Amino acid sequence: MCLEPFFNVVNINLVTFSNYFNIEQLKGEIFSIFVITITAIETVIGLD
Amino acid sequence: VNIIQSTKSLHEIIFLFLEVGLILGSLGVVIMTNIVYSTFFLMLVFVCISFMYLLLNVDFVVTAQIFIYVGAINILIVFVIMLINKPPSFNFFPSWTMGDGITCATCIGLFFLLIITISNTSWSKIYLVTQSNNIVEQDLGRNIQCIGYLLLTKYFLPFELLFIILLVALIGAITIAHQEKILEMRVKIQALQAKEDFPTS
Repeated sequence: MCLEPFFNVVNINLVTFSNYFNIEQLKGEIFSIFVITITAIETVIGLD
Repeated sequence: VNIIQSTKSLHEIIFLFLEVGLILGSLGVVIMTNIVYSTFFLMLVFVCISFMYLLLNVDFVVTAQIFIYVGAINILIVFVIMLINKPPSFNFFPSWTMGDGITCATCIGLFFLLIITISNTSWSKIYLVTQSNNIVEQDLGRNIQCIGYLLLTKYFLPFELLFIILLVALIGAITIAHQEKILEMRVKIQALQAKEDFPTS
């Protein structure tokens, strides 16, 4: 349960810096979507 | 000018509230000994983070955050806690081992290192943006359509890899659940055989 905040921190960093440096490219948002998917997989496998 | 300043200050006030909620929620997740309370603090943290994305003006990530984290992952954790049914321990100060001390020292060192780095970096002077105006930047604009377009063109390979990872996770979960069932069946069969071998008079 303490692993999800780590992934959230990574997401916040990605989105914030993609907003800060280059607002048109949306790279950070796309990578944050990938990270969210990985987190969901981790939860499903880790809680089994 | 007044309106801009007032919206800016409102922005900062909301940001401050979200930060306080985040820090308190994270501390609650770590410190609470009852694991159910810890889960609800985790929900608070996720909602605060989604509001923070709303301040950053990224709509799609906000929806994904609320649907996946708050709606799916947190509910899953609650279900697992209800299935485990572990009695809560009321030991507020557990004994510290060597590893705990090392971890604590490393975390505090990392925290101060980050603080020093952030305060020493001059953020306003960073220009990583190379002025290339020939990006895939049609009239789609900055919205969900653009994200979908990029996912299916430029980032198609990671997207496909994500499918494969999801499939592997699905098969793994099914295998784990199936193995537990097989073990239960074996135990039952052994118990039945033992009863048949040594019938109670």
